[in-house]
Amino acid sequence: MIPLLASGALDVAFASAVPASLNAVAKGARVRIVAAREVAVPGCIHEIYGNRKSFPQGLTAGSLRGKRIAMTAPTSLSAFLLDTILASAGLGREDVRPQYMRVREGTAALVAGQIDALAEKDMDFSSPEIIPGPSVADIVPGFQYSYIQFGRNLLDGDIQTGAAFLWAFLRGVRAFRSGKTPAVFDRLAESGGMDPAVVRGLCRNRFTIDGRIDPASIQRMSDWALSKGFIPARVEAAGLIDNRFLDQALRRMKEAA
Amino acid sequence: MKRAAWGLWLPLTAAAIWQVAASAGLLSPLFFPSPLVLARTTGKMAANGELVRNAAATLLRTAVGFLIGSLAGLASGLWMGGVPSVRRSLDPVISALNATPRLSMLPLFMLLLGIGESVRIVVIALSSAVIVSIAAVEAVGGIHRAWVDLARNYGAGAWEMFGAVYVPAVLPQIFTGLRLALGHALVMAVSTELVIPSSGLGSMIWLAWQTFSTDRLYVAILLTAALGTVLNAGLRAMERRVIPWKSVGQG
Repeated sequence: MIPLLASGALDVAFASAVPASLNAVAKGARVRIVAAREVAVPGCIHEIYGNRKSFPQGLTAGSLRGKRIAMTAPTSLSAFLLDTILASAGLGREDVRPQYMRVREGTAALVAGQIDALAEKDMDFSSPEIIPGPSVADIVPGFQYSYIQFGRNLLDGDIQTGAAFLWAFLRGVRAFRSGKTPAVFDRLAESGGMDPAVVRGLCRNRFTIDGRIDPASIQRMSDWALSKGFIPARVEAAGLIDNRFLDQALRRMKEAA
Repeated sequence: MKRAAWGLWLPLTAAAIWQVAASAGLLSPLFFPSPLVLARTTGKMAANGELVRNAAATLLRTAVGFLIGSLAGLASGLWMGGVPSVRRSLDPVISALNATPRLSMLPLFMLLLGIGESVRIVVIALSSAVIVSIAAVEAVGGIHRAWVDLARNYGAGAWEMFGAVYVPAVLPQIFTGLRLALGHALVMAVSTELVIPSSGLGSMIWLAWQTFSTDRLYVAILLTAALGTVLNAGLRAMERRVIPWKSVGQG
């Protein structure tokens, strides 16, 4: 996604501060983080799920030792989240058996018991065989997962266009958080064969209300990427952030209020 | 030597034009790193063992899957070609498998076989088996009745018929099937590595994309292409040795 954003084939990406973003900025590509999207909220989002048979005593960070854990890629947000959870128990990636596969295959493998756990946030599993693990929110309070990133067309174009996009997004977030969009949940429940009432009750406060970016969260991912060798040199969080659009969008919201 | 020159002039010319365009600043180094940059990246990746390790992983998967699949495909194809009732029974299955993208079966095989190496090998082998099987059926079906009758009239026994008529008649088409199957085996090996990216050239491509390392992306893709060319050339060389009469018609 990020290479497409850097090439101008995409204008907006909803993505984490993944190594591709960091490398793109380090190489001079016009890609910037312009607003925060999701944040770790205790009891709201889980970042790892396990098969109940593999964790009869419950899924804790320490119980992951020696387990087969799937994630999408060694460079992914899920890999970072797994490393964060493992580190909280004094473990590292070398203490588990990582398996790399797409979420689709990982989900099927987890349900079938081919793997012990799947590192992926907010899967909303409804199978009783699948249990959630510890939450990153308890380890790194306020950690921001994902962001809105702009490519060169919006960054170098009329600032009003990008600001208007963020204004519309933030309005959507506020409507979502206030429970005004049940149709989304109904569609989700229908497509997943889940109980609509349960799905409507899922937490909605994982989206940041003002989109303010937490540089410490980005720096944490950047330092992790450097330690893993995914980026050649340290990338400062400040170099990735462009607040112009968000400032304007928030001003407009304030004026409207 | 002459054959190699004919095969190399086009890619070398393209690389030269690419280098000139990159040096002149006509291409963005972000998306089109120059051949010299790629050569440096290749050197680094070769020096730290990354290239050899991943190429070897892909080659091993390709070889094992191709070998198993080709043998299975050859056996089933010859059986189908020789026994009409078997052909009528298996033909719909082979046709259905041929029409189904093999990669789409990967999740199913993962559920049945787990996520180890075996699941990749099965997908690669299945791909090879289908192609070789179809080639073998066609090869047997293409044996001229006149050759068989002529050999029988000269008193050829069963083994002589097999060695002097059937094998020479089917080998050219089977070799064509094998070459196609080998190419597909490599494609499937890289494809499965893209889906389950633990090692191999597909894994390198995936990782390069995930880290926006375009130079590494190009190196992995070019290495895959080079590997395919070398494998195909190897099988062609073997083909020329085993069935020299085929190359007469090809000039």
